[in-house]
Amino acid sequence: MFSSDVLPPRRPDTPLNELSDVQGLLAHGYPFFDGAAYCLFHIDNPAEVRRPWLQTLLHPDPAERWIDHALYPSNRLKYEDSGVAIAFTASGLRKLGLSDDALATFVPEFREGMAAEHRARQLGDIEDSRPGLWTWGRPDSARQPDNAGEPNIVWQSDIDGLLIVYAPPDTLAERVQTISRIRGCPEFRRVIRTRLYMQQGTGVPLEPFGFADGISQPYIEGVTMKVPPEGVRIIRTGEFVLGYPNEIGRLPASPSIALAEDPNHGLPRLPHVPRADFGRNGSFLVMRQLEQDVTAFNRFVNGDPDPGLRGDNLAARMVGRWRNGEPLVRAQQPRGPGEVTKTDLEDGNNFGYDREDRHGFECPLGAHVRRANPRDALAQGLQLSPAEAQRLVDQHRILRRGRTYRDDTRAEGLIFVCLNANIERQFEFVQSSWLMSREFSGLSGETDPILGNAPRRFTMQHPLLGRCRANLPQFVRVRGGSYFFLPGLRSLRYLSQL
Amino acid sequence: MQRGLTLITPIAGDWQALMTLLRERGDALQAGWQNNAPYALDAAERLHFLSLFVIEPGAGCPALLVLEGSFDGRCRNPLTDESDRDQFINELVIANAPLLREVYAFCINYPQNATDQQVREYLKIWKHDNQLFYVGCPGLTTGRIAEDAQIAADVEASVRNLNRPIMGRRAQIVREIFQGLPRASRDLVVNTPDRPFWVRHPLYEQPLQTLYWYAKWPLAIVGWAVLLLVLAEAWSPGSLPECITPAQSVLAATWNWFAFFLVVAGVLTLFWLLIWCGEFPQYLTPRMTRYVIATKLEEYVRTSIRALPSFGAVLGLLALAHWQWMRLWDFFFSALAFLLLVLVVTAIVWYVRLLRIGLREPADRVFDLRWDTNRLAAVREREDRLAQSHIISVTTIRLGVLRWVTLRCVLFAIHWLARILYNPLGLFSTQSIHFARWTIVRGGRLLFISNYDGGFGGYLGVFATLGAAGVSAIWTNTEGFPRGFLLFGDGARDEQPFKARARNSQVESVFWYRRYPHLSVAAIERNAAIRMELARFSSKAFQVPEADFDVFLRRFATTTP
Repeated sequence: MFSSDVLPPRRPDTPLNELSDVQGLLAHGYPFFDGAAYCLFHIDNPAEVRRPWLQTLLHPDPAERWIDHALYPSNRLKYEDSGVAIAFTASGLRKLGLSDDALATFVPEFREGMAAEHRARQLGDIEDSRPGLWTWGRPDSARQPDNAGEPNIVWQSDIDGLLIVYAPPDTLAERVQTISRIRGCPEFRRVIRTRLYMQQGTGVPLEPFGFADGISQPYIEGVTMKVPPEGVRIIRTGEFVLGYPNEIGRLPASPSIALAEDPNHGLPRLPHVPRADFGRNGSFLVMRQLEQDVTAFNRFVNGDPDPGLRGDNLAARMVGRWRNGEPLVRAQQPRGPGEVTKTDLEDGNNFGYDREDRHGFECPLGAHVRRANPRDALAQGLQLSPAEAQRLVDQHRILRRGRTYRDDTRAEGLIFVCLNANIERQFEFVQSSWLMSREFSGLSGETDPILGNAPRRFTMQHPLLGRCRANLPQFVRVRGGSYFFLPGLRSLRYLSQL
Repeated sequence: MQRGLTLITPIAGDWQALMTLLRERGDALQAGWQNNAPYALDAAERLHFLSLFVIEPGAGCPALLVLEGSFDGRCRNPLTDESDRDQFINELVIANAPLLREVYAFCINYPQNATDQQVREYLKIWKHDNQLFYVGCPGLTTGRIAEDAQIAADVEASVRNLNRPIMGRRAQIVREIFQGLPRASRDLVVNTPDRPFWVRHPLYEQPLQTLYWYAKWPLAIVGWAVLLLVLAEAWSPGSLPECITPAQSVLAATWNWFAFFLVVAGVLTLFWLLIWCGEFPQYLTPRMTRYVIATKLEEYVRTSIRALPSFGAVLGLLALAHWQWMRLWDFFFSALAFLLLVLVVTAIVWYVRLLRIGLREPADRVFDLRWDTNRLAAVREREDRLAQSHIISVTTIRLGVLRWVTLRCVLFAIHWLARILYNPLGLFSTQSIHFARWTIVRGGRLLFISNYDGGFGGYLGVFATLGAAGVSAIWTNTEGFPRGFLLFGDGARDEQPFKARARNSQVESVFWYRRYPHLSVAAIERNAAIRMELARFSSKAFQVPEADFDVFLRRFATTTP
């Protein structure tokens, strides 16, 4: 339940009044901890989970509390030994005691889950990436008698929540174990360990294909306390945190509960309806395990028949940035190792495709970063000014918090995690209408060159005649996924006291 | 040229059984497309899209079966639209009578064991007007779309076969591409017809002729009435009442005009005779000569007689102009002032009633989001398959004259604005609509049907952002729409409740036929542009500015083997 009232805007350099109620994951991705463990848990004993376990994680003494909030300044966290974030699926919330009435106020995409058949079609999770092949989050409708040969499958019904533990790699396992020993801890059905691999000299994390990652993160009003470079907009809080106005000037749909279910006034009240706002200061978390075939990717880019394009050139055109993170629209050739810093990349991130590379001669129209964040590129097609086009695109931004993993079978990839207040308009829109669209930006019949499903093609525009590479193999397969709700701390306390 | 056919028929039988039947037929159709299997409706060559669905009973109305079709019209004149829709119904029956018999057997008064002719006559009874009908690719018939797609595919193949490295002037490259096309495609390109811009009303495209067509009978009646008065006064002076007695100067002027027209007719006849005599066939027998002369004279007399009414009307109008010139202008301005006064008064009354409702409609309750996930799953089962999607929405129109009038006016205005002022951005800035319509249905309901590209979220997302004003203007007059502002503001801009409301009003799209399921609007327009540009280049022997080739060439790329 929500209203469509518009609240007054906040000053960009003023933190939210309730930042201490927002989980820390929204403010930062714990970059000072190289290790992270994504623990998918199953609740067998809700009462035990609520009182001993959750209440321990939310201990009133800051020295004892595990779950930190966004008000902690980053340098203080450097001296802590770990950071923790917790999120729940619809089934997890139901087990913890949320009523059907409350659950009915969650958006349907969250309740249905990522693996629903129609959603999988929409997101392009087909063929090798279809949910029926996922190792976790696989829909229960896909259970087969021969699944006995796959004992490690974590079914969708097994996942009630996600606990993310950040710590230095050498202490990560111990931190996870300590948490698992807290009384009432639910069973961890799958623990995926990740690590930040940093690019030498820049301090920018690398993903398995060797590209700098996590460069274009949105600046969130009241949450991100950094000043953006000139020309980069600050995004309204409500695009990522429930309970605040979004880019449209409205409050995003926030789950709520009946007043009778909150007699202790643990939750804030909604302004115009007699219900308590369970979702305030929370967000929706999207998690996907993207297995990357690095060998196939390198074989493809290094085996190009055009020697002028072979290798880094082709790879950069497919991604839209050089491996060191420099955007193609600004750098026709990459600078040498160590010459580009993270600050350089952030400061130089204020480019626009429409004003600097309208036809895609520098950065191809279908390149990955151009699809994922078109910036002002939609201006010409929609007959808008570049600023208007940028504002339109800013309604579809996501806050990424993913990390690279390499498991025991030498499979590697990305644990993609993003946060957004509106799954359908943000993550799902970017995935289906831009990345997987076959008509993106005037192209015909081609999807994202990195994430798309085989077979597909990739066109590099040229003033005379473009160059097309056909039959691109599959580089990325989805191995698991789910939607979670990341509650605010007050909502977590409410859950722990049900 | 493209038109919409909407048949709305009350269901007498078990509507749920009909839903099941339609679902089975629809699923079979979808399964066939996976294998590129043909379908009976392919035989209706003018058909673009067709759907059959059921509106559940409610609001005191029985369940309704709706057939929605979008097809290529034959006639440009809207007054013959009726016969065109009937013709199309005939073609539908020919194409797939078994399906129609099966489905309409559930409807009221359907004749048992109906013949094809009876089915046709039965369907024609249930034609329903669309208050707003929009076409995304105006002027492109099914045949043209198929041809353009084939040509575009051949052009891409020709590009791939270009000699490498690609060098030389753009004109040379484009010429080489053109010459690499198969003969059939080259012929199609060379013979590319102009793209008819159907959405323009004839009033816009041929204003004088259209105005004349609408005005000719009233003008003729007035002209002849005045001419009869003139003749009556000339025959019997003073016999008419003074107020309608033409002055002597009018009689004289009329006689002068008559003489002038006779002279002109005589001169034209003389020229015609001279030309005819010059072309008169030689070496004819006397009998044949008499026959030819008689035929020609008969034709001359017949043409003259046919021209007499117009001649008389023109003469009468000239007399009127001479007689009452100043009064005519006074009458015109008075009528204009009266019309403006009526409009202003209507606007004031409408505005006052609007203010009584309130600026923000406080009586509106905040939309309560409770999704019926089972129904939603059934609806979404058929979405995101192939390039296109289909949405059907049924909403209840709010009670009250103000709402009714506003809705009608808004639909009328948008319908004609979209037709007369072709909007390159598309309806409500959505460039992905193939066909869309709004229809007011019995029981005070508004039916919205759209065949579009992409997904539900992206489609309605554009409605909520760039097209919010127009969308709100329509749907703010229906129950449950997000709170509006002065009937046109807010509303759809509240994106989440707008989408949620759209979902909750959605009807399952059980049977949906598409002629070109793999083509989006963008692809259709792209193919059309490729053909038109290539036709222009070839017609000018590729002697156009080099920059003209840039847009064309940018669409293509060479492919390495």
